[in-house]
Amino acid sequence: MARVRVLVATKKGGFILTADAGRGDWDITGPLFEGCEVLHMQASPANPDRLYASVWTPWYGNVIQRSHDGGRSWTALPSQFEYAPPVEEYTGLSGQRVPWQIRKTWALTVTPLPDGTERILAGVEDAALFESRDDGATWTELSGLRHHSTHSLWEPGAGGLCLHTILPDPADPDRLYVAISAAGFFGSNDGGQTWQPLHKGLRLDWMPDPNPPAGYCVHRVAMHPDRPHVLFQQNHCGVYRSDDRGETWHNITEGLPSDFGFPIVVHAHEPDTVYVVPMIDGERHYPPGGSLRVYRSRDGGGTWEPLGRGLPDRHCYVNVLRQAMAVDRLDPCGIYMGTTGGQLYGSFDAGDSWEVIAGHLPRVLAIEVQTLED
Amino acid sequence: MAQVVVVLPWHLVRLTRASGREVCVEVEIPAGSRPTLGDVIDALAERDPVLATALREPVPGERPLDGRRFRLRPYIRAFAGSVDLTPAGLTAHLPSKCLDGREPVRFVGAIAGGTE
Repeated sequence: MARVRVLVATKKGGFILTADAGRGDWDITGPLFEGCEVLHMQASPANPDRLYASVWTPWYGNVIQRSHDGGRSWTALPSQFEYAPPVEEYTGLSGQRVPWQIRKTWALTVTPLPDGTERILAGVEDAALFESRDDGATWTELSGLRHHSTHSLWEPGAGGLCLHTILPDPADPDRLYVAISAAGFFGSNDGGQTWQPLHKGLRLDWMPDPNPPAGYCVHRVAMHPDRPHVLFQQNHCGVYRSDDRGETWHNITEGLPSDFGFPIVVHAHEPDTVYVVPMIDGERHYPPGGSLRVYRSRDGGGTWEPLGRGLPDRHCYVNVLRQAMAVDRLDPCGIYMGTTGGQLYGSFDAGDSWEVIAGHLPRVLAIEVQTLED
Repeated sequence: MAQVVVVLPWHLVRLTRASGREVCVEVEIPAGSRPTLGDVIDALAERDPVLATALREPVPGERPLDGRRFRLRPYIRAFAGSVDLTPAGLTAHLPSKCLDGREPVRFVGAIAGGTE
């Protein structure tokens, strides 16, 4: 009998929600790490009860926590992230030069390696990628990314200079992608040692040069594991699709009420079915007309349809952050969405209708979903 | 060696393997000098590296390894009894009353309300 476990990272701790395959009756555990911000929770694909959480407070900084029992108990790891030299400066929000500093871990990804071990990747703010091959005990920066020749063009978005998306190619352990706001989307074909910017076809609406080598505000990128050469991107300036591993992008925003939004996810069983949550624009992060709608495309971005059954029709001013949407692997596919207002919505018919799973959580920062087989 | 009693903030006890708010650590007394707040954190690191990571951070822009330098995290304050060690940071010398157990070294999370 399959089960679903939803890992919800929030401003005030982590929550774990579980349900059987019917997804009608949810058990909620939490808050974990009370009083702390949890930026992301992630699971090992090889051992689903091995979980990782990025926990942060303004006082004590960032601590990675690990559980070996599905989240019942946790151990803090001595996760000292240190940049590989040289450590220089970047241009801050106000144009001033700012020294690079490890602040928070935004994203954790666990990938199996051919030798049977696992590799954990951590995306941090200020933007850098770290790897651990010893279950989180030690971390090494994959510094080819931060030392990329375009790094002088990287600038923070409003959320900071954060590496928020890590996408390993399931068909090729040496290929992976990362997204950084606001640096752009980068791909590596050698396991993360060297990187190529993948920006052809994207645009930077607000800059004098709309097509610089880097500096793009990529909000989120998604792929279907069975078709990893096709990528979908929600950018600050539109929704894009690439059919060639990010080499070129074309705009698929037409049919959406706005080019702005944060998350983008792909249906678990239909590689051409994509979901986004448009927000009105980059200054007003709320749904157009105060009406929360998920938009679905079933033809890879050619056409879009609004999905609103069960979602608020008016006076809704929440946002859905970039990591706060995920899918399960059941059939029909479940879609999960957490809001800045603390609502966790679920759709158990691939988006046709939605219901509130939890209505009063803290601000939801990130969601991951595990589909578990007993 | 001095036995220094350290009082940890509540949050840090929950985040780490500390069994309670009071932790006793052994700190070496340098010849002709007194141990520093940084020495106390080094001793805490031997007990649980997470404690040290949570109390100090690398100075931004500094290169690590041999030239590594840390600083107290911005929202952490440290007291020896009622004496505020925070302004001098990790180089602050412990008063003798902390070296013979009369007063603890106390780490406090700065009061910083107002956010969500």
